[in-house]
Amino acid sequence: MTENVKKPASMVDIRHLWVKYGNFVAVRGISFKIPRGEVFGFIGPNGAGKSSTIRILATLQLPNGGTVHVDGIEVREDPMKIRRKIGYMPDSFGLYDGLTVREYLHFFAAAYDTPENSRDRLVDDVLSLTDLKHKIDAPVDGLSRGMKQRLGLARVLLHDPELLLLDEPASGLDPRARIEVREILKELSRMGKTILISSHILHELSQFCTRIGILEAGRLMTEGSLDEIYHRLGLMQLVHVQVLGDPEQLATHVRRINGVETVEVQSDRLSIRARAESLPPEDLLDHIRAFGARVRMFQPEAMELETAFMKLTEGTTA
Amino acid sequence: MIRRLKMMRLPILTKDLLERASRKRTYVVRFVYGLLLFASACTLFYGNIGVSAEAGQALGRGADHFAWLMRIQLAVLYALVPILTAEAVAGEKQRDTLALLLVTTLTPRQIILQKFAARTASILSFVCLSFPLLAITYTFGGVTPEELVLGMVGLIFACLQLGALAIFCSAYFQTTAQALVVTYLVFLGLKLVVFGASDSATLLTPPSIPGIVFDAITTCLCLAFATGALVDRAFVQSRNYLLEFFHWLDGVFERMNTVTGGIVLVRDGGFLPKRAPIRWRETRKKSLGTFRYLFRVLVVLEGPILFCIQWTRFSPSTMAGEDGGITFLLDLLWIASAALVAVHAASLISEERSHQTLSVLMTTPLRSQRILSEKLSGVRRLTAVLLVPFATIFLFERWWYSGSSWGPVVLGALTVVTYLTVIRWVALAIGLRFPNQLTAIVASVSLVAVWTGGLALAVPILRYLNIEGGVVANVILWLSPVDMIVAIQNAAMRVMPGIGGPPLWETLPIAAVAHFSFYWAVGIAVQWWCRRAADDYLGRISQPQPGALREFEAASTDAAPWLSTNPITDVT
Repeated sequence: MTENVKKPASMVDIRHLWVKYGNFVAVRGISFKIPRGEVFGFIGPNGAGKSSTIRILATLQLPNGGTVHVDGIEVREDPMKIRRKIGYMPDSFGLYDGLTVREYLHFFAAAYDTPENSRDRLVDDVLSLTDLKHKIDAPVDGLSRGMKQRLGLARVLLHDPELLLLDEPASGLDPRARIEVREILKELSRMGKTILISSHILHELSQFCTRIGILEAGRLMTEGSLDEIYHRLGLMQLVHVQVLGDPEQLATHVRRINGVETVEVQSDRLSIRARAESLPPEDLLDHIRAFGARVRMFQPEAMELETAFMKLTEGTTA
Repeated sequence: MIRRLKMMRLPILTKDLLERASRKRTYVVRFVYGLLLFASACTLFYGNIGVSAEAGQALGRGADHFAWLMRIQLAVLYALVPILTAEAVAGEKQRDTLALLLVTTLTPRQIILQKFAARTASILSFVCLSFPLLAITYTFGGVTPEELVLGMVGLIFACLQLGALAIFCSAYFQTTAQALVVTYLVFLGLKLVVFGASDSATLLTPPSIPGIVFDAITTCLCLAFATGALVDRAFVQSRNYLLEFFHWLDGVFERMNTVTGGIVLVRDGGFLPKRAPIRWRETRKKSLGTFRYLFRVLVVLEGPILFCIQWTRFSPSTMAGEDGGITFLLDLLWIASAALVAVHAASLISEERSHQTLSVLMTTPLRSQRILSEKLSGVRRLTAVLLVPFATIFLFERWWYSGSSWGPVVLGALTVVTYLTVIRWVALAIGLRFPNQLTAIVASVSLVAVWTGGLALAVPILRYLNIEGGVVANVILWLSPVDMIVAIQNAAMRVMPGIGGPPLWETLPIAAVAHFSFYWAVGIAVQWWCRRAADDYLGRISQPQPGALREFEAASTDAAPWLSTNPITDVT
């Protein structure tokens, strides 16, 4: 008989979460929800309380106040059940001396009690996804840092968790390794996993996170989709435009459009800053075409997360 | 003083002294050391004569008191100095802060000398504690002023020498544990080679002028070598020398195996974990858990025993009533077994912490109790292997002293199983409680030494002080594992003239039963605590008992910010 239980809409539901270490208060009553299938980026300076929040979701630490639900289960109510639903990747990659990649993954497959007859296939699948199949018999301690991070991602996928908790997965990686990890995360997002990822690298988060939470000194400064945050803060949208003909003439026209703040004429393009809430990029494109300009390139930049971060935070720690 | 040091531009010395001064541990260790030293001195001064005896009886005994105080002081300092010093440079390497020191304008010599000065400053404060006591021995008579001064100076130089050696090892090796072990080994080797110190009495002989000169020269040499090693070995990749040695042995045995046609009795590798992943790793992937390494441990322990047995059988001297060194080997076997089990069990959890693998393991659905049980599987294997050499000795004694019964064999086996089980669980509990691997190991070994040595020494000390212990002395005697082992050994040899009396289980069977029942109760209690506290100390949220959920739901609606106490975060 199959049990027909309606799953809660939010994979993560945190209300009034407080965390303290002795007299030091790391998290001060934060509340937010992560809907199923969303990629939630957790941004904040060191000591903001990101790792503490993630550790509580990973059932490693008790909250000192508030409630924390994962898939409708409170962390204190049934942590063992939550452990089957989550995949946790800490900011440091711990090593087991003398294990190969195959042994390492089989070790965790056995720890999650996955069916013995399907483990070989599982290990193959996660290694294919993380592009590590050729390293299956290599010793874990001999892998590069980027490969270790990918192996960490392979490990968290072994038991097919619904929620991935990734604490600084891209820290300390070279550009190539960062891009590789980012591509894997995009793929996981397409697979419908709910992901909570903390990072300092704002540009990367803005590329694939559907929601963002900015944390400072244990307080959640803002939370929502990128558009919501831009609208809330009245932030500028930066758009790069390349046109055939005289850019100066077009710049003069563009400056007169309602919602455009600045237009900068560069050697090969115009850089236009517009208020996102009153002039969306598609409207701006319509205006430019209406001037008769032949557009070779129109590129709205998703870089304003840095501005949002700087505007919301003051550089203080808890 | 700190301000003066700052003005003298001694930043490392200032920082280290400030750090040590701000640690509670510094004062606790100093207090305990002082307490033990003064208790030992009081025992010496009032021994045999009693506190109410006439002062005249004590006159002229100062030389004995002086020699004993020096031995006690040297023994404790030899144990303490490497622990306090070996971390000096290796700790900087482990924290990745050595590079920051090397890029400053400080020269390597300045760094080493300041590190050395900081560590020896606190060690010399320990030494100074004994000076008033040494002066008191002078008042008893029998000690000349020259001997007194020589003793004090000798103590200082002995500490400087050992401290300098530890600083050199610290600069040479990448981890504190390696530096610590090598310091002890090199120091013992140095004493054995140079002074031929074949026993503890010679090793702890009060210093002489040539000895002090030797200490001074080796101190300077060690500091010079440390200065060279500081830069040369600053960024060398950390190596596991024990593992490398084992790999080298593997190679040797594999080459030898070609001679025997490649026969493999038990295969350790080539298996993947099925249902118990942690047990698999402990018994297939770790040095002291795999069959081949355990077999080598067995050969190392069993070889000398078999040799001594043959020596006993065929040596003419043993016919006259000597045991050919079997008792001495049994003592060594006990020390080695207790140390091996304590170190191995204490490292189990702290090693996961230092390798940063514990948090990931804690997010798996494995129950903490199961994790602990599987973690101990390698130590259980080791204990089973250690039983073999013990059994060899017990069975040989049963055969050799043909008049003895099976009682000593059975009780001997019971002592091994009981004590090693208690040590295993106590060391695991310490490893669970202490985050640092080295601290856990030192605490476990120290606890075992205090437990066995303390109980064994308590009764003789009471007798020495002319204190009639009565019930207390009897309780101590029956609790003492060393006395139980000696009693069983004597019982095994009682057919020999002049050795042993009636076995204790014949004279007081209830006491023997109570002894083992007590230690099994201790073992079960520690095991129960480990299982109960496992979630908290391993660092994860505990699975609530049925019924606890309702209480939590009621509490969570409370508006107060601190709804629950968190042992992990509060400890942190």
